[in-house]
Amino acid sequence: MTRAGRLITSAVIAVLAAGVVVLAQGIAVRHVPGDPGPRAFPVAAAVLVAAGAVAALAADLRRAHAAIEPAGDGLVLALATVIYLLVLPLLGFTVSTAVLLAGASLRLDRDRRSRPVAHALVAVLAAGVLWVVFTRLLDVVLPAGPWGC
Amino acid sequence: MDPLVRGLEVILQPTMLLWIMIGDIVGIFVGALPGLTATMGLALFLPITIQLDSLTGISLMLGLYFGAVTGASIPAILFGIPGNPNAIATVFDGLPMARKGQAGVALGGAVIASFLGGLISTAALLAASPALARFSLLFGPAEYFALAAASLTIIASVSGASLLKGLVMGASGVLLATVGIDAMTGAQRFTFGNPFAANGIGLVPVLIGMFGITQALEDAARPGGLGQIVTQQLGRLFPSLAQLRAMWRIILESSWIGTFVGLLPGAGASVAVVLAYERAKQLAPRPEEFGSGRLEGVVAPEVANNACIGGGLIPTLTLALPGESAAVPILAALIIHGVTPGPLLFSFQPHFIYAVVFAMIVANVTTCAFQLGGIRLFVKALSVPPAMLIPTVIVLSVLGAYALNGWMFDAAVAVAAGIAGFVLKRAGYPLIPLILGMVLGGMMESEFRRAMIITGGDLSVFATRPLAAALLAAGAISLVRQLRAQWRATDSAQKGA
Repeated sequence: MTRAGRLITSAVIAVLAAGVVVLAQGIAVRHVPGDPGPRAFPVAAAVLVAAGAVAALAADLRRAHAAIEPAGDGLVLALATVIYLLVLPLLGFTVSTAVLLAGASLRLDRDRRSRPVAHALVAVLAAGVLWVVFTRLLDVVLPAGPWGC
Repeated sequence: MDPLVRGLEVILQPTMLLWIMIGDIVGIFVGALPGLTATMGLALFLPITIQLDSLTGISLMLGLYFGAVTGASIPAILFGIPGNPNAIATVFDGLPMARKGQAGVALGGAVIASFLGGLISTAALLAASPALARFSLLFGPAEYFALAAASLTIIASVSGASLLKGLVMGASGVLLATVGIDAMTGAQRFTFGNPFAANGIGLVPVLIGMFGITQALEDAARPGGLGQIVTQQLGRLFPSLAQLRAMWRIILESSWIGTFVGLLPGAGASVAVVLAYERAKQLAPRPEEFGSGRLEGVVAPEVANNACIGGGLIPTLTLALPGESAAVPILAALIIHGVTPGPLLFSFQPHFIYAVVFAMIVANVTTCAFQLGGIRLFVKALSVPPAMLIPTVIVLSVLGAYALNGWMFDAAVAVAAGIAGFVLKRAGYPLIPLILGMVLGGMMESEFRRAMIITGGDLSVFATRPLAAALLAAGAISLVRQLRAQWRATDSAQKGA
């Protein structure tokens, strides 16, 4: 991550925390003698977060940092995970999991050590095994999708 | 017949041993699967125990309990995904050890540590149950708040290079713990009308996301190729006797921390492992190496989480007050079988107490044997090519978070936490303080407010109650020591440069 990235992250945290302080004003307060109320802790924590993030931002402005390598495939995988989460209830567990496993492993296999068919087969097998373990052995109801699995 | 001999005789029956072993195997499986907790496993097995006699049912549950707590170290060490909150701190040094080709000694050390922690807390259960249970009753809201506040000072030592960023993350954890319906007044806090958010942001989904998903994304981002990131080298399987001897004080103190925290209803093993990790860091000869793969960093939390089992059962058996959440199904099983926990149980049914203690010892030994026997098999998981392993870790993390309640909301929290963790880590924000804030924040707020309601807002309660004052003073001293150590380290680094 670049220096700008670090600064932006601290700035976003500070802004979010300030937003929380504003939002906390909407929390309904019922007077109980002695009780500081449901607003006190979140507001105190958010003020601490905002102040700390601003101070961290100022410190990062003064310091020179070694750049971290670019996020590269980490970012691609993060995007794939979000898409996986969105399609999971629509396509069902086995299909969406097999697609994620096959696609991501193919992308991450930079040296092409395995053939695409091998990636696909392992992905289908892994998705099937996980489905059996969780639904049959542990009674967890997984998102079924139109295929029922 | 002597109640001790009678208890031993009952437990050593082959069918009883078989049930304990079944419990162990199921427990290790439950513990090793992210998202499945010991409490969940015990609750699932509660109906089965009803078909059995009381001691067999309790013994099966104890086997499962020991197995689940010990088994959670497997994914924590191999993949950086804590199987459940008991294994939070095991990740800190367990994963770096596995990455250095020391997966065998990390797993073996975790099992031996778990065995010792379980054994010492069982001894405490046998020797000092009534006295320890009475001591736990001295803890009121002021003491619980003081314990949480003192524990939170650990943030200073786990913040790494930037104390300021550690503080931001710790406070963010406390903030996240406030999401949901306020238990005191029923007010909705930051739920945005979402019924799932009304239950709060779960610790386990955040934990799974910030350790499992973040680590997988970091590995995928590694530019030098994926071949070097996961080593399938098993290395040595056991810590040497000299290593264990050098850690005797860490083992002993972690056992007491685990037993003591286990005694306190509501505190939980996640608090115990963090405290034990921090204490081990203070006792270790090279504390600065913690987090980069020190065996002490695996041993201390593993001793503590197993010691919580015995500690949690003390108030369960003596006061009918479950110390640990996992003790709730055990208490339910006792009541269903017509066994009334309480001080009278020790007087009128001593053979039952002895049988439970022997069942704990047997469960501890057999869990240790099964897990040590399985290490070579577990490490085989690392032989999966990294390109396939990384997406599998993502899927297991999402699945683990989902399986907790069957909610997509929890899976979404895990993914959001994972991606946020990826970004924050790259910006130099340490993740462990956020987890600490979440673990301790809820307890801190509720106990502080309870103390204030009881005293009508009188803050002097924290100074006038000796135990609360002592805990707060200990926290303050620990904070000053940690800050001094950090300043010295920074100072010497600057001089070196």
